Amino acid sequence: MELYHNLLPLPSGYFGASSALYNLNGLIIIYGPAGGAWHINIEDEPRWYRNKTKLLGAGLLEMDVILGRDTAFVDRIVEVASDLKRSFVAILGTPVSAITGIDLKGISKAVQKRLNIPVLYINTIGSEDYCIGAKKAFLELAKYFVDREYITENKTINILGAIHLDIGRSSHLNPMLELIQQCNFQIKSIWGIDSCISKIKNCAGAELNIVLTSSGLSVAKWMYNQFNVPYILGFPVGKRAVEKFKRILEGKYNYSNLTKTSKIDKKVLIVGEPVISYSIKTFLKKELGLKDVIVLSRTPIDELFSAEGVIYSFLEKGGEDIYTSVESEISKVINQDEIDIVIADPYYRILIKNKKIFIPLPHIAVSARFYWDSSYEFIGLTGGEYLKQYFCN
Amino acid sequence: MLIEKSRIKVICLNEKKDFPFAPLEAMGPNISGWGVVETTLLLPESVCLMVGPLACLRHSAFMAHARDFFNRFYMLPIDELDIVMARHLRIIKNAIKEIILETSPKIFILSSTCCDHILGTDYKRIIQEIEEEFDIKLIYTVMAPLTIGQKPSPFEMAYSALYEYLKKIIGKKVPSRLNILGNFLPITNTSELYNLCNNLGLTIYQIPRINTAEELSLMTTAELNIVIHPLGEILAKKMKKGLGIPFLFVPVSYGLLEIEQNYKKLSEKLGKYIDYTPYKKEAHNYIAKRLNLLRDKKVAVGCSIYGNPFELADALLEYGCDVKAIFCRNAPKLFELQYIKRLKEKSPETFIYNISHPYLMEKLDVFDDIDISFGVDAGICCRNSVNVPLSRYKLQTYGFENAILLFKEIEKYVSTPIKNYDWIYKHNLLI
Repeated sequence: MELYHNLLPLPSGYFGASSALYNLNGLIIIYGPAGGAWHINIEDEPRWYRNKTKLLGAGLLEMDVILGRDTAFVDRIVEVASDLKRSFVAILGTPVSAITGIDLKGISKAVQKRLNIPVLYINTIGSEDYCIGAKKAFLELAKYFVDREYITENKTINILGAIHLDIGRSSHLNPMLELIQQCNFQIKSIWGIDSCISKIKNCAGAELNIVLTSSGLSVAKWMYNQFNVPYILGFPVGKRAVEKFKRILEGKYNYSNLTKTSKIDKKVLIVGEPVISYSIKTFLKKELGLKDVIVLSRTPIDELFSAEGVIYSFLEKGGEDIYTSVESEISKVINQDEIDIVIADPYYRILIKNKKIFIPLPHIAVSARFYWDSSYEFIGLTGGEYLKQYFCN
Repeated sequence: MLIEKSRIKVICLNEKKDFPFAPLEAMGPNISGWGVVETTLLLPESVCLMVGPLACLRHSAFMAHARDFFNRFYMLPIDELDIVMARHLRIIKNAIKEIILETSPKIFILSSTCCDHILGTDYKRIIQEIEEEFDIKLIYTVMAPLTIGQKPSPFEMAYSALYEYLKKIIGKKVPSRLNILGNFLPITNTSELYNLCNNLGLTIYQIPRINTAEELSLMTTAELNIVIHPLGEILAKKMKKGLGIPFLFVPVSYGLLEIEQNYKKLSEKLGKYIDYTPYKKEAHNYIAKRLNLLRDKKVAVGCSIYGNPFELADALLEYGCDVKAIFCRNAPKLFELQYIKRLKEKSPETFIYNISHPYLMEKLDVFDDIDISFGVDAGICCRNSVNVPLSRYKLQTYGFENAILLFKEIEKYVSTPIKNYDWIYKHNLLI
């Protein structure tokens, strides 16, 4: 039984879709009752604060849902979208649409007929995790906007899956941006934080993609299948991985993994978004020499190890890695006696009953806005330095 | 200007339909209310289980952590398909049993969401079985924001859930007992209202100060319910009909005349003279020395305040302010029309904004001349203002004390301002 008591349930699909689309100057509409969009804005989306309107709720009432006042809903969307002059409209499904089976796709088409901007329908329901919603949103975005006539440009790269629910503030991306710049690569587009539609349109000509979180995987695969753009899965953390990353970008594709003899006999548990967690795991094992590192993810992990189109992966699966979203199971794993160090969002602290070294790594999908302003890093050299300090003390 | 669609001058507000309609919704209903779960958990010795899709649970979970009531709160995610097929009932029953065995509560609150509300899921059998098996009171409530505006709000329904516990208790009326309804945080027993009531030999019961289910049952013996916030009105009506306890609506106020009026009404209802004059004098003296804090200041009032935004606006006009904006989420209710009437006379050009209107955030510079904003919601819009939150999660006073508190808070935050961002993101005053 998936009973929650101490942890927050993960954001659902439409939270993820919203995170993926938020910075694109669109109008995102949640088909739900009062508060449907507000929960996202006030709890999970600090980019909302004193900014222009991006995410709105349908504000449905009982009779709207039961009687299906679709025409009024269409009229309202058209009115607001026309007034606000955004780049596109995205309509997101919720538990209400899942229950009633309203034809949101049809509604999207009806809205499209009356607007001169693209109207996307993201088929989210409300009980799937945010990652699924973000993937769906990115795919819709790709299918609608990415220009299929392109010329591949050398030394260009797209950053995929940079959603704020996993990455946090956009400044956490800086080490990656600097690294790419040092390699004389040009960033064609960032999917998630700091995106813009015009860049997404022209992303097909990139030489390479890099996938920062699971939510970027669907588009990475799609771009590989459509345009033959290969991708790097995961990202470098610490010196050795950064050097490796540079060599990959220099075209010296070396498929051999980083190696190092493990010396430190401590067992580490990383709880978090799987691509981020595995990238950190690589750092701990290959740079700090930790012998035993386990990843626990609340979203699926298997797909990360069967992806086609990957030219290099910073991810290495271990036999003990776990995928579970059940609080009691997470608690059991965290409290295993043999685990010495836990790297996780500070919210997991509440589950720890015995003595452990705890390294805080805020994850917005877990703790919403609570640690948004906290100081932490996890990418590149600064990510390595942030984590290393806990092992040096 | 788009902003015009989100506002109306107070002089033009004559009917409900004049209030600017939000075609799509930006800010949620809990700005001007309480959370459903935290409201039901006011009941002592209770635990709450919320069941529904992941999306609906996350919000309540966030609130539980921000407001620190998660130790009595459980959540069970259910797939939409399970809800439609009614497969969730067995899962829920097992979850309830598991929680009861772990926590041994006296009252169990089961809260569902819009999904069950739309489908009309019948929880009666589960409730009956659990009550029989564990000798416990199970109260069913629903967090269904779909019902807002047409029926009692989810907050009112949650608050009224208390009646489900009280209705089976036949208490003999005790003339010297009063209940206070509608407050979330407790009014302290050293407060003005307590002192005045104690002087008359009256005992006050208020839900946030009650620690046990047994003590809660004493509320059925009161001679009068004093409703200090509209939240308590439905419960008061139910208690009047079912338990024969009359009620008096005397809302929390900031204006000195309004406060005095409320005491007069209370005095009349009780048939006892309430000597509030020392408090009145103290408030007059305190405020007179600090009126310069507000004189000619341009102010805005939000709906997240403790009390009523229209009443506060009216009081602020009395204190010499220039009330430029009032932020609300809904058209004024019947009891608010008296304030609207006074505002029309004193400040017809004041704008009333729909805080959830999608165009409001598009042009925040119209609020850049506001000196002081009251309420965290008003503070979001009024970027250059000193933000005085007057949050219902921070304060709970009544009578002349409340007017004094207004000036204390103004004085405090004018001299040491706290950013609106910090009120929201560090102090969690807006969820």
